Amino acid sequence: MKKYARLVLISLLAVGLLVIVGCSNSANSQGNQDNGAVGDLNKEKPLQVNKTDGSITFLAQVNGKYFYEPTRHGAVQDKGSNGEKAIFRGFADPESFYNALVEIGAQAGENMTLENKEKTNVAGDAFDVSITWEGAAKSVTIDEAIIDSNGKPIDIRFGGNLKNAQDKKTGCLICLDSCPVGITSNATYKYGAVEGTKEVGFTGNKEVLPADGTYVAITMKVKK
Amino acid sequence: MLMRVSRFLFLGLGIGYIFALILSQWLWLAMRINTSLLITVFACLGVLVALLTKRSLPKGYFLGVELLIPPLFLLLYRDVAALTVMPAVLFREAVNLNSLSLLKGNMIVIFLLVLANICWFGPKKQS
Repeated sequence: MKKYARLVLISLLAVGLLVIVGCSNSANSQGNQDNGAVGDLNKEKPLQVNKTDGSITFLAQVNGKYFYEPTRHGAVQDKGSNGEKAIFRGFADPESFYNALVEIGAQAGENMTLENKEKTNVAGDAFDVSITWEGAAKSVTIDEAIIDSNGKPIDIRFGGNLKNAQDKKTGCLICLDSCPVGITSNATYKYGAVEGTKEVGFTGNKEVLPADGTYVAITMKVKK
Repeated sequence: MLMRVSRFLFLGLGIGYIFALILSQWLWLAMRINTSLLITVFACLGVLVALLTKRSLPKGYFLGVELLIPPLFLLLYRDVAALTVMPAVLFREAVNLNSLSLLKGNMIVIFLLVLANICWFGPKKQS
């Protein structure tokens, strides 16, 4: 009887494991096809400036963890201290990202400080943010790619904050609430909306985004 | 001796998974530290306990931990699909291999799980 129970347990375990491997293989099928490049972007050249179009595009990678857990980080450079806390693991550094935005003529708000962060909404030029990847039928907007638990639109602004970004070394490129460190952030919410007051949570939209590990190109175009 | 250390190592890994899972729900903390490192910490603690004591543990300890983890994942994430993502994500964070694909991560987790079951419930006499 004991042997029989052990056999049943092992069989159940084996079936469960096969299902998990099968599913993760299917979840990875898109991620495995890419090689760290999207169009002209790659890890050696992760940032492109298109002055005529008034846009910049940078290389990033989907972090599947945030399909299931909330975060306040949209895109963070992989080498930054928050590199693994974002929906998109970016490959551009904050300084190059900041300079690229200045190069396309975007105006930074520079109104966020470490003191006023919980009482201030980030200012600065607003962007249309879109995401695409190899094999995507079309690019998706940030509102489609990232789920705001309140259903509010994400309003990404050029906060600036280069000095803080260099000092803190977080690697933050796009924060999902107003931030005194991130180069760009979401003016819809004040700092602390995710962690402090818990009025909102942000997760990657797994119905829209490709699988964990897939490289994507994120384009930011100044709104006119 | 090796079998005993392995058993404590795998028990530590399992307990680490439980604590990492629970603590990852504390968003403030999860945004500041890598909570998955608890898996590594508990695995190391397991080895240390095995080396520093002569205590043996009943098989039920590991079985309890092993059987608790899947329902805990389901309870916290409320999505069966999370079982194909989060164990591998936690593992890659625990060993700081962030470029590890989900497939490879899951295969390693499964390999460790099978090995742990052989260590705990295999034919050898428990020390």
